[in-house]
Amino acid sequence: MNTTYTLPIEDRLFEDYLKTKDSRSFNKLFELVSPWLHKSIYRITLDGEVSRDIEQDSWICLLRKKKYKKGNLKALIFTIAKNNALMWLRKTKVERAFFKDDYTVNSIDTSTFDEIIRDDNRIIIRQSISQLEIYYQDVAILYYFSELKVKEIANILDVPENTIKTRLRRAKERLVALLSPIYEKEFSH
Amino acid sequence: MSDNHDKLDDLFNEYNNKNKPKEFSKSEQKKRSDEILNKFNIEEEKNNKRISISGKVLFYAIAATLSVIALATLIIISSPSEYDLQNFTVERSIDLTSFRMLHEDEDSVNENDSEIINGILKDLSIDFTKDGNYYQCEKQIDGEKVKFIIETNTDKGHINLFQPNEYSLNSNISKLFDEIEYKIRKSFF
Repeated sequence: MNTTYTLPIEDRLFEDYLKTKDSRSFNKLFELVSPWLHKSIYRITLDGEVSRDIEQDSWICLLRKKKYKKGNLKALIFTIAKNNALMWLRKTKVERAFFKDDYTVNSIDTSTFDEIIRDDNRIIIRQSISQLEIYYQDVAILYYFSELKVKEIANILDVPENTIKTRLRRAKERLVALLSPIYEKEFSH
Repeated sequence: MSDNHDKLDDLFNEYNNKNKPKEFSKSEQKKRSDEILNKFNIEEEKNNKRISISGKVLFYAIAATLSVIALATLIIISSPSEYDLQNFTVERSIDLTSFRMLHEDEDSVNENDSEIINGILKDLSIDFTKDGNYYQCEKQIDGEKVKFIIETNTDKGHINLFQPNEYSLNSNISKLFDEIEYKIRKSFF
């Protein structure tokens, strides 16, 4: 029996672009990948301009590679973009020491209290994701930030759906453990 | 535990709803995609130029090295021409006929000539290299390096002393030649 392994459409488009330099192939590839990729970058950086720059740099980084493991394009661009976004997060020191004990709300002006709490929540959520181990981090970002289904995540990371389910369950367990000290009321012990 | 996971999902849903990235229209997506390709192409062009410049630099460096080697080789090759007989004049021809007549065996005479000349040149601290019947000599006279030639085993059985064409008969080299001649005659007779 002859079985032919067909490359995912994204890989074929990229291959085609590398061979022909036809911008239509790249445009199509971008159209397929960018929506979910941009979501995850944006929800890590929470800055429209920065996320556009990071996405652009990530694509350029991919274009520079020229050689890559075929069938793995989506995982590759995702990894590049995610790493760039997390690196930006670390560089800008947006993360604050929420997991330390020195945080007090006494000095905060009550008029801006709600706003600060809202900003703090954003930081806490991003902090929790960035603290996960890489397998759980990838799944959590794609599941929560890119809002993808398990099947789509399995397709991007090229791993079986059941593996994704397991990783997602473990990612959630870790996230609950990380967030429960801050969201005491929300989580039951 | 699944209750906690549901709450976690709610927390992230809330985060996502408050932090929605800009949604790009198809034309905007194409514009962004084209921007990436343009930026990449400009970068590639710069790199290619850099490579081509470094290629040129490398080419010129190799060319310069080869020129230096060629020049050095030329100097080395041309240096024996410093002892080209055309550039020298016989300043004196030492007649050893009477001595030769005492020796019937020519080979022994030749050996004798070489032995004697070698000894004299060493005694007078004269640098020399032997090229067949010619001794290419160099000696510092009054702070100037003077080249001269001693020819042995001539047809007439003479020993000839050559001085550079540009030297006059009254130059200091004559004194050196006097000394050499004196030592030769003393050695032979």
